[in-house]
Amino acid sequence: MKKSRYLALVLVVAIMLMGAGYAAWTDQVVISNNVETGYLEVQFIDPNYSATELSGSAYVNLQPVVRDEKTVRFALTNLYPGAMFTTLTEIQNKGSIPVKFDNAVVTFGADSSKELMDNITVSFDYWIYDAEGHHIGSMAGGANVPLTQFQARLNSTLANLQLLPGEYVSIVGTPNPEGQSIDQLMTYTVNSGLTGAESSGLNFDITFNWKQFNQ
Amino acid sequence: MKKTRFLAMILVISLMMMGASYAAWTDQIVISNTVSTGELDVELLPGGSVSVNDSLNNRTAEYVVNADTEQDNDLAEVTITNLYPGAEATVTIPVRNIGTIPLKLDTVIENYDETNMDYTLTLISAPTDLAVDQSGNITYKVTVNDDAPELDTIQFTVTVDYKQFNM
Repeated sequence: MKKSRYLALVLVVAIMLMGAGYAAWTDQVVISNNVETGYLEVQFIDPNYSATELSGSAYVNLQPVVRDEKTVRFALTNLYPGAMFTTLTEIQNKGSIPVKFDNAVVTFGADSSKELMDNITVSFDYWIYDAEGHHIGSMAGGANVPLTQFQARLNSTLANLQLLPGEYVSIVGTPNPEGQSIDQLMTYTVNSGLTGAESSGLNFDITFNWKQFNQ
Repeated sequence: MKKTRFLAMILVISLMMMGASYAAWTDQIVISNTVSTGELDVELLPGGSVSVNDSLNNRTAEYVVNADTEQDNDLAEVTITNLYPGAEATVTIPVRNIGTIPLKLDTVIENYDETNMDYTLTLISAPTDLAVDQSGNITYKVTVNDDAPELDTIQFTVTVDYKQFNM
């Protein structure tokens, strides 16, 4: 047999074998996937203070400076020994996944009066509400906690707080004998025994940090 | 008539007579054949699960089986929302051999972008052999890694090819 014929024969056989291989039956199933992540968002709610949400003793001047979803800042002037002021702080989980309290940081401005700082106490508790505004639980904060220990107390008392989407926490006043009332707000008190610190100023920031619930 | 021609004629006549004797009784047997091929067909089934390692109820985690252009239930569409770093979604979808011959797993192709480090796709299992009418589960896991962005969406397919058992 001539060489060219032999090669042609080999080629034909090879193609036939290829054909047999490709002709095997197959079927396939396809799984199409669409995967989305959610988001983590914690905000202060109610961007406007009402008169009952920020109030103080007589002659104390209060004015909210900034209040939006992420920042609450207010200024108080003309404080004096024995004066009080109250605020309502409500923090809501507006994200799509549960959040867990991470930590709170209280920082004082460089020009703050150390004497005034040492003579202010704060009393507070926490009320927890579900997304529909139903009261679902309470947590103890502390009564007459020195402002200098406020950060540590916030961190110890909020350590296990978790908020589901829509839930929010109100930082309110300490319990009274009849039980808590929403009208009783977180209360700051200037020590009535303060003898100095006239015409002094104090500014401080309270930062609440939150993280996703599974961290 | 020459002698040779006479002999040839005798020979022809003899052969014709022989033929007549062969045309006598005959019989035949026939083998009639019907040959048909089987069918290789695999389909996805409902009744599986899309689960996430938490108890959140504000998400979609489901799949639906749809017919493809050939009206076979060869396409499943999985939707998972509201995941977050650390979340793991496990998808389990039953697959069944509805053909007439056994099947063997050929290839599994994930067209997931492997350079995307925000997620990890892990194939856990797929049936390697499926007898006729036998079912098994295709299972894989999607893990959201720490750097995954919020409100992100990824799309990918998992394609499982089956071939006839003897190939």
